[in-house]
Amino acid sequence: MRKICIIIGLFCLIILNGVSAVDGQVLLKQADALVNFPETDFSAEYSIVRDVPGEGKSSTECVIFRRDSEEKYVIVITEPEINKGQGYLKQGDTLWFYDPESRKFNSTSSKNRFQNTNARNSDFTRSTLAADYDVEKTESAKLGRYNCTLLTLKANNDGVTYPGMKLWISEDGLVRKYEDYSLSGRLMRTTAIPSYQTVGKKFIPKYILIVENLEGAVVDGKFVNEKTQITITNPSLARQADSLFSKTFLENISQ
Amino acid sequence: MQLRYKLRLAGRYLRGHFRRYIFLLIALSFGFSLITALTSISNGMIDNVYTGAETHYGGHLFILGFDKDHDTAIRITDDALVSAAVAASDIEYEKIVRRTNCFERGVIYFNGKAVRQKNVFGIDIENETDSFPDTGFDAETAGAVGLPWIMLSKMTAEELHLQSGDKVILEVETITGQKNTAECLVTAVMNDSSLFGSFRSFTDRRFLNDLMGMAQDEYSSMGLYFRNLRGIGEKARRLQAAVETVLPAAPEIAEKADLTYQLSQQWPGIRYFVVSLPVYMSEIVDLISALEAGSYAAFAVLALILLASSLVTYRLLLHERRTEIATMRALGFHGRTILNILFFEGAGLAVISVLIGYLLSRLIIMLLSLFSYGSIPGFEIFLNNGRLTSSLPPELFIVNIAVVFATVGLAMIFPAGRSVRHDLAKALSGGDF
Repeated sequence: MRKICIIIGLFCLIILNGVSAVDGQVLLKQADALVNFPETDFSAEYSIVRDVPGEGKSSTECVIFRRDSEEKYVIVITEPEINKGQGYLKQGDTLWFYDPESRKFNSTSSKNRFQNTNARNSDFTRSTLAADYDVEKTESAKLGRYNCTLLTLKANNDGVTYPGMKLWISEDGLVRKYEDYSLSGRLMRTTAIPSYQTVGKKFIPKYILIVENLEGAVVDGKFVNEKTQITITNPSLARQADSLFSKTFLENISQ
Repeated sequence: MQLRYKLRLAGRYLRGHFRRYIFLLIALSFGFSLITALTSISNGMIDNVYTGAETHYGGHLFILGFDKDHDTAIRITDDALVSAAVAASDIEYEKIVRRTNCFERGVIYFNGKAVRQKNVFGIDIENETDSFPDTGFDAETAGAVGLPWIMLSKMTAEELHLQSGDKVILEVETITGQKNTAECLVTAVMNDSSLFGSFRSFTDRRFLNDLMGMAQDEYSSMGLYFRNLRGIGEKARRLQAAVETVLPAAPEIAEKADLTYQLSQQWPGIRYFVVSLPVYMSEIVDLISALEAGSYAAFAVLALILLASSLVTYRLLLHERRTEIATMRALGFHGRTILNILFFEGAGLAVISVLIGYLLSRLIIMLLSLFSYGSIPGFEIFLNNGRLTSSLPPELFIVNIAVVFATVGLAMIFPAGRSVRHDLAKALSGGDF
């Protein structure tokens, strides 16, 4: 009888674990769906401020156009003056960087830092959490005023930069915070998305705060991490011209 | 007249007229010392470039595997076949080293600061201790270190404000592009501020393999060391032929452009490349050529100055000795015999000049190498630990000596010829020509 109870208990545990993993995967899909735009284009102005403790702040302004249905995006740098006209063009798996000074396109990696900030080029593409990660653990967690589900994720393919992730999803299905981990399990980067703005039925972050966990400096006797704050304004889901997602567009706009 | 008498007479005349020859002796000695110092230093600079490159790339001739299935990761997975190819090539080498490199995908973190490396090499320290003589780090020390060890460049250490004994975090990307990290103990700070050494670090190959998701026995390149680069092209061709028989190989790589072109192609899995150090060096061959051209130009100018001053001095000297030469002719010496004696005098002068000049050149080189030139931007590549070094191979020394002898010979050939053809009566009376 005892043995049967143990077996039934284990069976229930396995089932429950399976259910929570499936639920986690559903949550990931929902989170992706809320911030992706498969049927429309997306454009917005991004202001990216990098704060290096002890060295001060530097600011980058850019305009982003995204067409998730074709896995394309175009980013045009508008500030600072020295980088004005530089641009990025993503076409499928290929990411081009355009430098108006040399008038050349060079291929770059989506894993590289964006304009020497703590953001990665991959941070501007559509969200593919459900496709790239498997849920290893699901638990409830409180994040400030939000009741969240905390998902521990493990990459299921080699295409992602960080093979491990912890993700806080609030009850409205939105990602509020995530931590990126290296293969050895070291915390590398923490990203917080405290508030979203809505355009139609879609959610677009208002602010994104990225904290580099390994970089920073001791200021007034306290270790302060390097951070980058991204502010997104003027979001739109209006259809953009096809010609915008091309090299010619980047060449013309910088002239 | 027998040769020994001619030599004896030449020696006697050289001693007798030594005061007259002093200016020429000084000019020749100084000229030879400058030429020798110049060629030794420029040769030393070129040697330093090659030595730096040898240490950096880990050999003189390399087999590299480029894996197109993993974003062109440099990776050799079959050591047995690669070793078999080397054995089949029948090349005599001094040493083989295997290295893993994660290139610019390595970052060192310390106290919140990060420095991206240009190269993070995984090496077998037991096989490469002699490449790091200044660090005092060897296999025994590596075995005693509890944590994975890492040797950093001085520039990295300065930027991170760390020293030997500190613990750092090494971040690399796996061959599939994912971030991975590990804590390492800094076991040495390498005093290498050269173009190659500024932002590179060395760690254990097996540890780096593990961090990059490679198997323990894998590596990026196999490097073969030879005594020197002589015949490297032929050795590369033999190795290429041997590699082609056992492994999927790229066509022969003669220059950097070939390598770049081949790497732009697509293929499944790993393709093996045979690359020699001069191919890697082709990026800085122009720099070396410019250095050599500058050195030859300075050499030519110095040789011309030496020739001009020798010409003038010999003209005056033989003019002053016109009566003496006329007397020799009057005594029955043939013109050819007098010429021989004069040439032997010149040869004796050249020998003394070479000896004095050589000693002087060593002094110049010693003085120049006392100073550090590491702060001159772009010059570090030519230096050894910030200092100039010299190298004078025998063939170069022989050329330099030949220049002095040729200068003396050319300087005296016309005045000597004239002096034995002068009107004898006029010459004996001390009259001018």
